[in-house]
Amino acid sequence: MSAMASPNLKLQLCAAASNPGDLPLDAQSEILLRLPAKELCRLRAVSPSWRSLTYDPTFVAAHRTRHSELFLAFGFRGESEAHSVDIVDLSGKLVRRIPRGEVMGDSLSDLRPSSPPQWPPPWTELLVLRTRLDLVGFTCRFHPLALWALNPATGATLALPECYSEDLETRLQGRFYCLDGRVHWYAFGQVATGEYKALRITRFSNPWRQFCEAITIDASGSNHGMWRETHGPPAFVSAGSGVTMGHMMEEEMKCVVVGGVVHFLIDFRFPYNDSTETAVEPGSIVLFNLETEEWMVILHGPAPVCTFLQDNIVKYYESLDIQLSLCDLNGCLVTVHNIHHTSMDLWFLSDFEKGLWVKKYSLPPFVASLFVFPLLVLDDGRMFFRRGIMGIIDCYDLRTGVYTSVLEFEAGTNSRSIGIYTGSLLS
Amino acid sequence: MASAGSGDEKAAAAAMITLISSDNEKFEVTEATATLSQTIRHMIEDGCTDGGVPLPNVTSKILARVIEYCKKHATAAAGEEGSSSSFSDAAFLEVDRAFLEELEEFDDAFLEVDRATLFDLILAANYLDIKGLLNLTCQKVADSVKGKTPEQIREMYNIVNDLTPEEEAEIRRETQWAFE
Repeated sequence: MSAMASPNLKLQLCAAASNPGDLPLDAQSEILLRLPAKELCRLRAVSPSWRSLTYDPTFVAAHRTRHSELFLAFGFRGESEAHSVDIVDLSGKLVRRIPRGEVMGDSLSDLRPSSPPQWPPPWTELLVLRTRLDLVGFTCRFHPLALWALNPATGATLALPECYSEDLETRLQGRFYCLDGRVHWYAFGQVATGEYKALRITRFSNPWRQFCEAITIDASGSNHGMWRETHGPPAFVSAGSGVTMGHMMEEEMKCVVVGGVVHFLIDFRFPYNDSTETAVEPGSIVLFNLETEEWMVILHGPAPVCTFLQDNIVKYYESLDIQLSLCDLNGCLVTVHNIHHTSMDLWFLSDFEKGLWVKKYSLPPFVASLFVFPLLVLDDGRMFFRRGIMGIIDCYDLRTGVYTSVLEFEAGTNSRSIGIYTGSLLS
Repeated sequence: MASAGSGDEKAAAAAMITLISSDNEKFEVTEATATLSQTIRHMIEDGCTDGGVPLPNVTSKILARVIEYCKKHATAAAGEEGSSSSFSDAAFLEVDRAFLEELEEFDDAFLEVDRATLFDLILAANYLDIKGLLNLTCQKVADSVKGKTPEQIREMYNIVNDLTPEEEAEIRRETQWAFE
């Protein structure tokens, strides 16, 4: 090679310029940084230099900065019970389908003696938690004690201990498992230290009570602690239909995590608690700080929501309950008041200390259908919704008022529960 | 204040810089055109452009193209600045849109080059640190590999496959989802 002398130099230079692999590394990296993660993963098989360049942590970090798009994550059940987590971009394109065999129970521990036979039932499904994180949390209908944290870039999952905390296990002694210890809901968030925490709400009957447990996952997403009991919520929280129950019902979006704080709408319909409890104002919210693991003061809902029943001809608390949900829009807590076929009012919490709510948007009647829930809003004014029993994803443009359908899920998708993945798919 | 600023710009725009290609051809350009290159901007700021700026990595053929690009974009930038002070908002938007459309057309036509020229332009843009040109040319290459298989890309760019079959199989295993 070194025998090639100077007369050939010019030729070499000319030849060099037709192959991107011979460009300086920073120019190659300029080209490759413009490609989406899926393309890059495929290009790793082109040459060793592209392979090492695209695995370089500096490159991966730069790519993440440049491609800050959001993805939707949800469960999918394909043929012959092949479960997976689907990662879809906001144009509705399936970007990655991550098979999750564990949901079919290979790794699940034996169920409790009081469980029915033929378990798990064939219609088991994977439930992605409602998060907005660089991890995807999911559980499994009929195995509600099982919880996993998935890294969609690597496809690796971390299985959390499939058990109650010791304290709760003690409380469960001698009780009926089908009534007590039923998992109502999970919340999953990140705290300032970078650690992740999951919160589990578990229901007991006679008297009705909700217990609360937390578990920590380290910032790398690869190690976890044990479930431990924390204080129970100061009021009975609305947890939708729960994890085990209601496979025909909607996930009602009554709980959302914003900035390390879990927000639950209080279930104001039934006085589950002792008669000594004061009545709860509709729209009130309880907050759990994931960092300190403490419940905070009860937050009152927007005034027109609190007095909606008195001010309108709607007579039943149930009708108001079905109109209310919570949402994280651009990092702000939003109370969604969907007055069906009239308007969808979005109340942004503008001042937490003063409990000040501002109605930033009142969306038109054609958006305000039954079972329509906002998922997220982009800087360009596009707002995404999950709509209807089948869980279609719609988009409403706040600037133009144009309402379009983005994605109709294929059969087998569990779109009732959708997570937002903020991370990259390049690892 | 605005008028003083534009006065300075005019004075700066009048100053000429000489660029010298690797094959010793000289190009006279305005300072406004030359300073789209961060590399030359720094040289001007350091006061070392007297007697011309030698560019030993850029041939006259490529330098001519680069200057063509910079002239167009410097004019567009100057036009935008001028229009913002002398037109009403609606007229400004109209002019702004027209400028952008014209610039886009120019860029599209500019990219109609053979592959060797495209790579030479990337090299020059990288060396001269011209953000817009680097963006434009790199995006063109990136678009050309989108949706292609590794084999197609190797064939397209004459890249020798020096991965062993085992290595390649391993990569495909690692990133199988990207091939689906």
